[in-house]
Amino acid sequence: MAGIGFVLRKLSQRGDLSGVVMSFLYASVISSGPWLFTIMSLGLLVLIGNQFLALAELSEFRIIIIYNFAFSLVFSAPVFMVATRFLSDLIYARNVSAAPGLLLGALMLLFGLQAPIVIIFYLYYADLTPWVQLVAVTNYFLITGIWLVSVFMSALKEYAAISRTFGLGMLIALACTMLLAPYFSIAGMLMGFNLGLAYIFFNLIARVLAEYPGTPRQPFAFLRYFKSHWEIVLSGFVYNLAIWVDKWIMWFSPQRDVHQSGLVSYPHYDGAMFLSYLTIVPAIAVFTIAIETRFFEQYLRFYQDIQNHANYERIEKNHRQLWAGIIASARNIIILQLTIALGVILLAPLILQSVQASSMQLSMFRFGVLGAAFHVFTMFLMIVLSYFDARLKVLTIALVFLFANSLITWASLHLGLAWYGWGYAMAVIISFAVAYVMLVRHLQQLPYQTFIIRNESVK
Amino acid sequence: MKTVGKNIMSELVHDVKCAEICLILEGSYPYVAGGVSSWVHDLIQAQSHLTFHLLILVAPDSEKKRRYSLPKNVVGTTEITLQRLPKGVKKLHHAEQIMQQIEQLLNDLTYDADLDDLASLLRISSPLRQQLGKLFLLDSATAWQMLLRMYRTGFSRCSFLDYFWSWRGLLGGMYSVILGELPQARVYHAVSTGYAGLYLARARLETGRPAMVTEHGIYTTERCIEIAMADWLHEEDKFRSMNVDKSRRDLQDMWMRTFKNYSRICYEACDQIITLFEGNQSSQLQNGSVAERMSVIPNGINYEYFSKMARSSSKEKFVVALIGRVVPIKDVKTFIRAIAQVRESLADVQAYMIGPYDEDPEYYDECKMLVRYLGLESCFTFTGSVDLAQWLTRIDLIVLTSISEAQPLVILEAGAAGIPCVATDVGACREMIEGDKRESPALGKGGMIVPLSSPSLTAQAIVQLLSEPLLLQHCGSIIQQRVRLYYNKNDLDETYRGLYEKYCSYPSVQHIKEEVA
Repeated sequence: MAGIGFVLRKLSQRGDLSGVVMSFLYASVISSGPWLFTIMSLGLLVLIGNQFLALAELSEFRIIIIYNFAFSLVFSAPVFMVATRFLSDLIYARNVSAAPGLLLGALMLLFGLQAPIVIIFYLYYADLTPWVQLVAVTNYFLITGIWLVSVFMSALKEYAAISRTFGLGMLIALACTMLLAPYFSIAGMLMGFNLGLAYIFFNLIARVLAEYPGTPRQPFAFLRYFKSHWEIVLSGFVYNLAIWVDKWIMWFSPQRDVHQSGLVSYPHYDGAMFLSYLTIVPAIAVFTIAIETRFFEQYLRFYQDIQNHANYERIEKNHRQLWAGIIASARNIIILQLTIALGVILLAPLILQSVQASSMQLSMFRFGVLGAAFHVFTMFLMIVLSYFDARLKVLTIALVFLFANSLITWASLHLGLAWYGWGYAMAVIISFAVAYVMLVRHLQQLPYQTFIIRNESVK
Repeated sequence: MKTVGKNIMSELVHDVKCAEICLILEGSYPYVAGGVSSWVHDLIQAQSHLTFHLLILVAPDSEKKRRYSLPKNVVGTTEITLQRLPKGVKKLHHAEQIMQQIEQLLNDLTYDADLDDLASLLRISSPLRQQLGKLFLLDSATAWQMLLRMYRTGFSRCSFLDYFWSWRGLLGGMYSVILGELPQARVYHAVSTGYAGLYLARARLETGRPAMVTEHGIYTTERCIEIAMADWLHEEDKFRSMNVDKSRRDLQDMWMRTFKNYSRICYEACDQIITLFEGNQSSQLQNGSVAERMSVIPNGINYEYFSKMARSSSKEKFVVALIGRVVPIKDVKTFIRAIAQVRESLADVQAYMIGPYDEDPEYYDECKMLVRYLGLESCFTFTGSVDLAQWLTRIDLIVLTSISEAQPLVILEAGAAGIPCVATDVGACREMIEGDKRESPALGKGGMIVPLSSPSLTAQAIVQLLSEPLLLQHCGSIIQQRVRLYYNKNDLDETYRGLYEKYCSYPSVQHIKEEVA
């Protein structure tokens, strides 16, 4: 018989929306883990460090830690974003046998690519004693390793266990730092800090291997994702660069500190910023809960009802509820965080005094607190957009953040001390506005986006 | 305004390439082997004095292996993948307006369409042909709004996912016909309705050249059965309720209505609506065909070859055979049961199932089991694939128990050899055995017609024919005569030759391109 009969039959196999469904895992995994780790580590460093400011060595210790956090985060971001996506897809396909291979391959790639830079930097550029050079390099790799392993941990969703591991690790780090400092000076402090990080790193590795047993095979299978998911690679790099770029620009301010080792920093600015980041910890907690409960439920219902042949009236209703849910959560978080920010800004002199910070840091700290609030809002919007697999929109926001932060920070540098921090605050407010408009537009068109733009089956 | 000279030049260039006949083929020749495809292959070879261009419509992702080597008089091929549109541009000037015009026509096309609707659609789309494509027609936000509006008028209780894919499937298919390349030819000839028929109507409208269609099976009927059985409309789902079946029917109706409309448009555009046997004509008439333009041209066989086969008369046993593949549609089991009953009154009968049995091994096993169960091992044989010509000399009577057929040639091949037939009343069987309206004077019966799946009535007919040698011989000579007069391939080729000749020399009628110009 003549005629195209199979066309009809094909339709039954094409009604899928797997593209979007796969992205939800990815989005839920990227979350805010590494950022939280950075905030806590550096914030606490400032808090505690200031108590011992008398110690001359402390500044060298602190600068090495900051360098390692900053550069490893930026350089590792492309790899761990890709690893995150690859792992989410493995979980989605219900075949995680490639996970151990991914862990090994990504670690090798991270260490292999960064080792030359790190070793050359510490051994030849930085003027440090051999012992300090050695522990500084070790420190860098431990932090890099933790970024990567935390990807696997967020996929496991064992927040309590992970928090305990991090908490205990930081305690060990603190205790050992204090313990070893009197005997071995900076090398001792770093060594102590490394012991804590090593505890975290190996503890997490053990958990990952327990969850995903098996011999590592095809460790570089994930490399093809660099091509197919280039937007993710790029936005990971750009976003993390944007987070640090204002600090790096401020390291060129007249008030900067050039350490005898040759490492540059601006402790007042960095300290004020790290301290202000601590104010967003509650918002991150509230956001994580909101996204994993209400949002996720409504999000799943939206997609599942489509798959289950709901009519459009129902799809529209789910769409409205999902949208309303996002707006309500956003409003709660914004109110919470702006209240905190307002309180901290008003109480800034007291707070700075209590942590023995310099009064020169006052305006930077205030800008920092305002900026941190909008920074965290922007991050949430980006995560929500990631749930909808709007990769190009996420990349655009990251690019806006990077350019705004670079340009305005550079401008504020020339405006003088009173404006320090203004660049960061303005940059995140602009990024927030852009992200907000993009999310609203995406939400408005969600059914269209779902069926046409994000639907691999219509390509 | 273009210069006149340039226009003439391009016309001349076209004329050199222009084939006489453009055959429009959907899902058959040359990629799918089967009855329709062999018919096409024979047709082209029989009209070796004419040049052919093949317009081949294929489904997306279908296999592209040629099952036939194209005859020399095929001077060109154009392949159109249905539902695959050119990308086109994303945004158009007056996008909303254009979409609204299209929407109006699409609504007509899915409900109650005629050739004028297609003509209007072509008038809108032809100036925009370079720009229109997937991005605007299917993927744009404007198209999405149109999809929602169309969904809300009449489908709002349907599964949106199913509607979405149906909408894309139907519109994608139609757009690919509207936007596809149209080769130049003197006569356009489609081998089915459906998309091929729609393409034919477009060719008629755009070139003004004569159009003809030859339907083997009735496309609309086949498509409707398929749609009714399509499993994507029967999936289990969460929202199962009283409304679900109803909403599924709405979608099925949309598909069926659309295909019926395409058939109607095709019939309306055609100068000649041909089918293989009269039985099909009532469905054609129901779908809007017009009696004056309809004709029957059956498949023919090489009468000379089959009639020369010498009949061996000295035999101990009656030989009865079913010639065909061992598959459920042939209902071999009814044949086996009938033979068991025949044996009760005629001991000296030998039955053969002649034809390949590897297509459906499970069914073949069941048939063999039935033979054993009825104790027919000694008188029932599965021959597998054999050279039919050698067997025809030994057979006394053929039986066809099929539950569905179009125009089975085996009745004609056996008939040319003077072998009568007992067949079920499906497809063209009755017309071949008892004669159709073309026949004057009526020749009489060349065998017997029996109801579907009725072993006892089939057995009765077999016994009646075999036990009366004169009747058997009489029927044999009648069917032989009928084949000679009405199913001789040479004559039928001549009929097509005549039609092609007539239409090739027809003047062009006014067409859309001229209107636009």
